Amino acid sequence: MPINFKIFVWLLCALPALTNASGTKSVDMQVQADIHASMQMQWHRIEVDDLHYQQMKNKIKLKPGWVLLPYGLYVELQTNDVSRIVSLRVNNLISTNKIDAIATDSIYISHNGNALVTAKKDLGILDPKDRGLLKKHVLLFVIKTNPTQKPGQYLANFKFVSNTLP
Amino acid sequence: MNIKKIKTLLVLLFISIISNTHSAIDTDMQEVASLNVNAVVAPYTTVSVSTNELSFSVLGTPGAYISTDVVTLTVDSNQSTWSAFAQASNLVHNDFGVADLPAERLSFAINDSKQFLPLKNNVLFLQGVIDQEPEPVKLSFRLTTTWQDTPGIYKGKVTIAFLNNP
Repeated sequence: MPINFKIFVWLLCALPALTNASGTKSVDMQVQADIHASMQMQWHRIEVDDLHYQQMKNKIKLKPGWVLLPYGLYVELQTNDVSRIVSLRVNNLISTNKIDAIATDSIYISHNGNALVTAKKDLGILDPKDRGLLKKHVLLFVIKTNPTQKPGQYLANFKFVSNTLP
Repeated sequence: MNIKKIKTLLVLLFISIISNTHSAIDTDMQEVASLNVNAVVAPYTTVSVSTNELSFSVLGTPGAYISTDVVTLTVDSNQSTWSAFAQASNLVHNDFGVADLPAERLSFAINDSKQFLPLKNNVLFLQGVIDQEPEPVKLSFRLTTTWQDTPGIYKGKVTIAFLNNP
């Protein structure tokens, strides 16, 4: 057998091993991440001497007979949910004797120092377009007084309502 | 069959040849037979992983989540030197149009290390030499999420690649 042919056959057999020796090998691991919808929210009552209260109070223009309550709310919330909406719902003010009440049509909300809005409707504080953003709200309350309201101490009732869009 | 065993076999064969030659010398000093020996040591690299699936369940607020899947990697090679690299792909959401999670959100740590290395580009994390006994390496993986990440299922892969020098 000619020597050239022997060399050719040897190379033909050795070539796959040589390729394997100088090549690469890899292993794939499949990754799956399941991210759930999540929301975080914190709020606290703010008093007259609170910096946020003072900053927003200066933006409110009250008409005669309108009274700014000496407390408010500070709220922070954030969500990754694409369909989450959060609203503030204010109920009637109830007197401490549980007899008298100030209806929501006499209650107005100052939202971050903006123009007063009625408390008869839920006030939106988080929309789907706010997804991912940290939203901060300062909420002050104004009472439009009238002669039918009885003097005394009243308790404010409110709740945060969270819904998801269909 | 590793290289040590092959070496042992060759030594025994050689001793056998010498013995036969010595016997021949003791008598007539005539060549009775000769034996050609060819030993082909094929290059190899074997890789084993304890699992090829990684999962992350992000139930709470965004942050850093370590997978409960710990990958045990064992490399055995007769190459003079070898290196192991790790790289991740972006994690793609199941729904079309949702932004991917970038590959650098995935990171990994070796054995009990507290330092997690981002998997954005090929990361060299292991090297070996021919005489080194194979030792398993434990890889832990971590995913970092943010409030901007849309909830849902994301999929991708992590690739462990090996580069050999014969």
